[in-house]
Amino acid sequence: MEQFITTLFNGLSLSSIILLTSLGLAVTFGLMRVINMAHGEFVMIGAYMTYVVQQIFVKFFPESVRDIYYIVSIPAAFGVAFLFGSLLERFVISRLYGREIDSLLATWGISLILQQAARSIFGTQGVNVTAPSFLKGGIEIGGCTFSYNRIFIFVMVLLCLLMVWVIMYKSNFGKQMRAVMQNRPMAQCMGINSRRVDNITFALGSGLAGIAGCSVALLGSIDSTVGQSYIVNSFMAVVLGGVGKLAGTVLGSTIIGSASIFTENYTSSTIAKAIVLLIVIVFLQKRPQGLFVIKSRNLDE
Amino acid sequence: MLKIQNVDSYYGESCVINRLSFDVPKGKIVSLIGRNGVGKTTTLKSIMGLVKTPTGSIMMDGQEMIKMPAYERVRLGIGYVPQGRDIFPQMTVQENIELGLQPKGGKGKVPDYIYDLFPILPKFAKRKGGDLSGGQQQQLAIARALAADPKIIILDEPTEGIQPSIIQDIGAAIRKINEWKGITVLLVEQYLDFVLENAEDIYVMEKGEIVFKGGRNEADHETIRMLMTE
Repeated sequence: MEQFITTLFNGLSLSSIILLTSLGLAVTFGLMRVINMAHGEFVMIGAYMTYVVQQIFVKFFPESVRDIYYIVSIPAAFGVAFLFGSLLERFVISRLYGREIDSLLATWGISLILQQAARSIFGTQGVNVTAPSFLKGGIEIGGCTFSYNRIFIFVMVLLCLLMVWVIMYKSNFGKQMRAVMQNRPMAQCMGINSRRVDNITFALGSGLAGIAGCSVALLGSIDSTVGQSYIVNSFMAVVLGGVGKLAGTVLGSTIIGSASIFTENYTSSTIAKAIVLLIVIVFLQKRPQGLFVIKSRNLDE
Repeated sequence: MLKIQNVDSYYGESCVINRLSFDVPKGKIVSLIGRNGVGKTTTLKSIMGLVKTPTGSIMMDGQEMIKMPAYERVRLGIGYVPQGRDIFPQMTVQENIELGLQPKGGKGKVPDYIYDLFPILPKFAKRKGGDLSGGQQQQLAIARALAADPKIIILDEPTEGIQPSIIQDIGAAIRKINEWKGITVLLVEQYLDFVLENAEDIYVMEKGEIVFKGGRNEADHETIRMLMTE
């Protein structure tokens, strides 16, 4: 029983990280239909920003306040990834709308450039961040230990989810964003500057990947390929959940994360990946639209 | 109010409208009619900035807008109801109407008279736009175009695929917005009886050009009918 609960906790923990990376993808891929192969590198940028902020705190701040570096690193990671995302959209993606294969190839190239840039700046060896003292240790319930940093990631995911929901459904920008994604020419005829909306939407998705990088930094070593390990699962989560649906992304991430950990528990990590991939392929054969389907009388897609 | 002069427009290599010139005087209901494929919708898309217009001039209230993107043209006071309605299917009826406030930065309040014109809409406020019937979607599209108090409203075949009783309602709504609010109307149609009932001035288009112009009362209806069926 204890092992089951621990496995479940680890599964949910992995799900929450997948969800954090998927949230950004749900925006860029789910809403904008841009297959951004460099999304993992925005996770990497977020992770390295956490490291950079930590180094700044170690160098310039007294020990008593060093723990807050992690809190500072979250908006920093978001901001830098947002900026990179905005630049990528402005100079590359915006020229390739409607050309999925071209944008896939271009972003793959950008992904390689960013990885090499990271290796040039930070070296080929992985770097580590020290978890702040308030995230060290864990809470023990019934013989199971729940680590604080994983609980913190849960909370961070929930806050990000809330933020995305508020932006999408409660703000004027969210209304503009949904209008542009549903019918671009008509949104323009409503007085919406769709190019500006595209740019901010893409940057927002990238910024969310940056926050995911912050959480990934707590769990292990950071190197130039740190984002790559999550990106396949994240794409699967968005497609499984149903492209364009936030609730679908949440459910898709939970299923992929939990299934990975549970199958890994009884097999090996390689076999687990293969099994999860197989399950997703079979599921999508039966239900290509994913778990959540958008129904409408005149939806032409 | 709206002045189109020597406008050309192309789909790929083929010229769809050719040196087109006409104007829509302030406060009038003007209709542009013609058979399928003569370039009526392209004309409206040219006015809205949705297709390229390499030559000519499109003036709104004396301001040249031929080089402006669509979102800036709308801010000059144009409400657009496209062919096929193009409501946002995954948004609620309320959200669709409120999107009409975007030319004012999404701020302000939807004018109450819109709900008097289309009393069905508040009843369905929480429903998804895509779940409404064709006639209800048409009313929603007109309401959305009126939300930001436009100076002119441009309607592209508002009777297409709509049941007769709702066509009557739409005709009445067009006349009311013109009478109550003084909003100028440019109406593209193929349904001649609807045009004769509602429009004051009529332009007939053929092969991308205006071939006939006249007031509703002075125009020879048989000539117009012939031009429409030739």
